[in-house]
Amino acid sequence: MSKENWRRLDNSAKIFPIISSKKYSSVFRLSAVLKEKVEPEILKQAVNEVLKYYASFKVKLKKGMFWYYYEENNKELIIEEENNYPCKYIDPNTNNDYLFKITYFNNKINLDIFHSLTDGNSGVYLLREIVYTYIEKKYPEVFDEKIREARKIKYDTEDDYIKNYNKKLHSNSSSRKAYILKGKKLPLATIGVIHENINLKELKIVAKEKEVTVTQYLTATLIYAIYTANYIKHKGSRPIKICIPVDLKKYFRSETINNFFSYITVETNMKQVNEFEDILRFVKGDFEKRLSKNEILKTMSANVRLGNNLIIKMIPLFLKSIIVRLSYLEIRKYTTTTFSNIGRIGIIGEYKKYIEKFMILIAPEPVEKIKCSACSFDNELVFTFTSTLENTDIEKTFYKQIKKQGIEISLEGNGVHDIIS
Amino acid sequence: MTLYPKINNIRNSHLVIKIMLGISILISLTCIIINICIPGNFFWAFLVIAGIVYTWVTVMYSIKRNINIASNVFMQTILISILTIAIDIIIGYRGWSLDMALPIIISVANITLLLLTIVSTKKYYQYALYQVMTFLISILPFVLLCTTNLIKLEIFTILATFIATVTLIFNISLCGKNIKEELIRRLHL
Repeated sequence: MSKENWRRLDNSAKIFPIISSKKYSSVFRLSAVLKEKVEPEILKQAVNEVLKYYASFKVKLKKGMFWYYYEENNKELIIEEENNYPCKYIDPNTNNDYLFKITYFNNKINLDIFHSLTDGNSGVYLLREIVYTYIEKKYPEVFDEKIREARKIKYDTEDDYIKNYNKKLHSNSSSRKAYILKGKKLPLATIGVIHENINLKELKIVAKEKEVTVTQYLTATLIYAIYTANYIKHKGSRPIKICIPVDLKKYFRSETINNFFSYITVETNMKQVNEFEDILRFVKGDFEKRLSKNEILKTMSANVRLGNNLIIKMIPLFLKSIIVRLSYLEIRKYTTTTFSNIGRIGIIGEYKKYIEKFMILIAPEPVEKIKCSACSFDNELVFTFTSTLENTDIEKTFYKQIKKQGIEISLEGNGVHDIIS
Repeated sequence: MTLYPKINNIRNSHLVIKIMLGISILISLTCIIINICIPGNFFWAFLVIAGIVYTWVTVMYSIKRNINIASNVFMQTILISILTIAIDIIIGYRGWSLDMALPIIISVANITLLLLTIVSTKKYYQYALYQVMTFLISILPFVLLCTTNLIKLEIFTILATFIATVTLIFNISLCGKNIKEELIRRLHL
């Protein structure tokens, strides 16, 4: 935050306030499940302490003439027991203007974040810090000052998109519309959640045997599940396109706490590849092609160039909102679903024994009716489906496909779907 | 131990608003029907509808923008001005809305903003943009006076423009730097 107590939105963040609404919440959730029941009072103390260091989250969104911007928010953060479906639209008017929400339920601490504020990987920093501080406050006799000081991280609020993009590079993204998932929808505003808890060690062994990465293996399984459980039934003809967010910190030096991600789109023509092994081979090849630094830079640069275009900059915000919303009605049709794997959540040894697992959830939308996400902790990878569809055939097929490979897997949900089969 | 609470039903926080909206529509339709059935000198049902529309815009705006008083003052200035002009037109235009009502509304708004700036020393930067915007709409009657024959009684408009100008100068001298900063952040490209 500058000395004037306001800051610009980063290049990715600019789009979210414009396109978001109750239907398109642009909210993701990070949850930490602890071994013991969460004590609300300690959680409040922990969060307030953490926010002193993570001041970039203590902001409210304001409308400027041309862009939104962040302004310092000194109001108290509301921390309450979870009482709604996950990843719901965060209405600043009912949340003391904050763009993130902290809730708890039984052993679980939830952090719902409006994507404009940051991405999943940076969100993990905040959740991890809250969990560390909570544990320290809960067990002060175990954690002394030395341990606490050792884990402080450094971050900045730079827009690293601007720092790293290349003006001359052009993206060659696909112009083909995607297969859109079909099926009867759940009642209005309901979100079904299914967590598939996968044994990470066994998953890694199987992935290694097939000479693919864990993300490639899960993406192929997801495509296969969509194909067999939805695509065939509804006689799909368009390609299944999976949007995979990519953490740009793996490609560029960055300490930003803001958004710094790009994406690749895996496009599978189901008329050419439809057996699992074929899909797996195709996904592997497509990942390798699209995940090169140059390809990533191309996609990122195209997006930055758009946001940096002087003519676009000069359009008043209200007009920009109308144009962007109209274009997004079309853009959304280019993805079947999104699968975000934020990978391993590293936790310092002393704190591990207090934590059961971590989970990430992404808000489903009217077009992308199912969204998928994954993260791992210790020897468990939690693959999560968030869905607005009544039918759970995709989730079940995914489960069976993993189980078929001899990998240990179990299901958990939020009670919307009957998942025990 | 379950991971999620059971959500029994979809919470509808806007139920009260929906009921009130239904009542408003009902009242408006009843008034129109009565007005048509019992003919009078003028279509008074429009007065009721104008009042209802004004109330709704005020309520919805206040719900959404419950923080900044200056934005409410600005919004009210516009809404009440439209309402008074509408009333003047509905009951047979005599020009009192432009001659007297508008200048009085504008003067009150400017003085209110000035008082807000003086009383709330720490928050005045938040009011800056609305002060400038209120000033801009404050000089509209003066523009009308100079360019058209719509305003017959000049004194109120001249006085209102004078008050608006003095208020703006006073505000700039009091917190010019803050007005500049607020404009930079609001107008950044």
